[in-house]
Amino acid sequence: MGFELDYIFNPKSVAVAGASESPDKTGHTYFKNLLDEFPGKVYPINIRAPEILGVPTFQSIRDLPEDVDYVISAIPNRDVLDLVDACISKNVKTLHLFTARFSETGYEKETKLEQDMLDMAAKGGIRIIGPNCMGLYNPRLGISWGKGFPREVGNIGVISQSGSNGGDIVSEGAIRGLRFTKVISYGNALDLNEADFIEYLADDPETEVIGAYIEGVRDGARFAKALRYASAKKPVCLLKGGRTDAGTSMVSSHTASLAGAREVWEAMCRQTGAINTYSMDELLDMLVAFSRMSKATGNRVLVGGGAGGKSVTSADECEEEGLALQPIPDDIRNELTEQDPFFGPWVTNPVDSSIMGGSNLKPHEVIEFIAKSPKYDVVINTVSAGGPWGGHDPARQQRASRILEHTIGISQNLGKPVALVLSESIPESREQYEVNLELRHKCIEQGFAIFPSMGRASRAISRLVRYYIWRTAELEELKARNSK
Amino acid sequence: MASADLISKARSEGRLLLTEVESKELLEEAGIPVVETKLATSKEEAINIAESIGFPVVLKIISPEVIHKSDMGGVKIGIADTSSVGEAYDSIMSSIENAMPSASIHGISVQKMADPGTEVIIGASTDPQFGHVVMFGMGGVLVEVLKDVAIKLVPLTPRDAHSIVREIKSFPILEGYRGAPASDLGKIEEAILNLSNFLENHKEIKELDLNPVFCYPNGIVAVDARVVLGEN
Repeated sequence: MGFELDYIFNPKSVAVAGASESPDKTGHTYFKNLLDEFPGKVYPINIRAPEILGVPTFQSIRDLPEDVDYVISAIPNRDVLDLVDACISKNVKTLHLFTARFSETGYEKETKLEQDMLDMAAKGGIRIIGPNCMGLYNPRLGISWGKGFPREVGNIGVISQSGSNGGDIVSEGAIRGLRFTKVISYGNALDLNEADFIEYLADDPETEVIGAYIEGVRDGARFAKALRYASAKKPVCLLKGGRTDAGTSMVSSHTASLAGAREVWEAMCRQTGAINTYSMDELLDMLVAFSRMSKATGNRVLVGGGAGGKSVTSADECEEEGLALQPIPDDIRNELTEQDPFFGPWVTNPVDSSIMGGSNLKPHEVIEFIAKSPKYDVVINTVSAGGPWGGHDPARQQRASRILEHTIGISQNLGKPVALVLSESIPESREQYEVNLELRHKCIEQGFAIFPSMGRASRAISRLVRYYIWRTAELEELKARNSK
Repeated sequence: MASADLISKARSEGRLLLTEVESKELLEEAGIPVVETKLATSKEEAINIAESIGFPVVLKIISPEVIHKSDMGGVKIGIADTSSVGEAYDSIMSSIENAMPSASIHGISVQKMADPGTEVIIGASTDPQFGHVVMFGMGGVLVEVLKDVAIKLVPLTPRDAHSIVREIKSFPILEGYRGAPASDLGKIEEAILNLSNFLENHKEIKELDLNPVFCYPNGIVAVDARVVLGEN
């Protein structure tokens, strides 16, 4: 469906129009990133500087010694028509415009310029990304707009109408272990739009999870269709920015007054299987859950960690998000009772580690032992190397390592989806901060999905489970329809 | 009259709002069960229609300007015999002439009074971004006060029709709560799918309400209907 666009993401050569000598200019960053990482030919275009970072420049795309696949434009908007003309002469396939000040200004002249540019490019067979956007981050190929985006390739594809939110998804996501296949900041969506990119990522074999930040949609019906097509293959997590009141005035039916922009967006997500989120935190939580947890087929959860009141509030949070706190099954309870006749009958879900002091049961082992029951679909465990206040405690550190070890057991030996709750609060002492950071890195290296709170973990898991249930039903319906 | 003719007739008269009789005709053609409704332009005609469809009947004013028919005395229900039809006809005419002397009156609709059932609303509107959407909810005051409705984009698949009915909070009422009769869920889903198909072929329809639709253990029927056309 969308994979014919693959050439756009895999150019053999790139030119940067408006490559700059000045390190704080974006035209410099694009070129430097390519020079450092991109294996193909890279050409800087600059009318004044004779060379940039030691590479001789060209005055125009027209002067290049050979055809070029992909051009990044960081030149002023007044020069874009000439640039498009030059691109046509060199058989350019894709033009990405960082260049801005087109229709987004709302001015007639700039809007017309944008349209003229599109018409010219379309005639010349050039596809446009943008304008008014950061363009591509493709770590496999070494194309990037950011400074210091991860080089490793991951399993998440992202589209973002906004460059800053797209950049936040990459960098905020990276510190939670997220890695990406392709990230596309697409701005005004003049030519290639959100539906094109969603279709492409749906068909892209290395992309397993899709994330999107979207403000407006160019063609709603096509977008909804693309989402449903993609959701049948892989999860699509959306963050919608801005709301429109268009169409809510001047209605004369019940239906129209009840089906406002927000309600329709939410309904559209439910219908297409897309996961609708309401904040950047929630979007990242969903990307963490989908890209770092195995498939959960049911909502019966086993919760570990926390003592006393914390296990009570954990239970509340899980149940409020629609997870089922399955009681300890009889066969497991019998085995625990054999191990310790006093504590065995007392253990509950959530597993309260504070009651087991002095017993034959060890909290970090008990959770793995209980998790083996087929009555549990998913596990949330808590790990901590010490609280935020006060000096650090080596005993807590050791306990954290043991908990981690057994949690690894749950995901590796039992093959169950696991989420880890790991506090993000910043400790008062530098020493404790370093201990916490080390634990965090270890959790990420082990491939865990980490969440800063039980509430966020349980919400993400609940939505993950709902997606897989939706997908099973969707695939059944598609199969039934195709067999007719 | 075929749907295209009904729509072009309304347009030629400069109307975007179809009358109840027109709306029902259109929706019946779309495969949605509606109460048999006929337009009478005289008292004698109203009586003849009532006698042919059988008592009890309901009479309603048909005028593009009269939106809230019952508020203006434009509706008479439970009319049990021939003489009452005549009285109701005169009463509606004089109420409307008093309340809205300038209203252009197409006539009075005569319809069989439907047996009471569980009331639901089925509707459609046009979202500026996503186009036609279908809405389903409990009827009567519940739809207005609780906004207990579900929405799907057109086109709906059979699974979407199955879900839209079950997404509303009041769904247990449709299943027959505490011994009350259950509603014919299959027929509701079928009507919603037919509506979706119809809307796919009628982009010119901007909004529509089937409100209320009476649901029975076997079958459903739309008692009132309103269709609004787009500007062009």
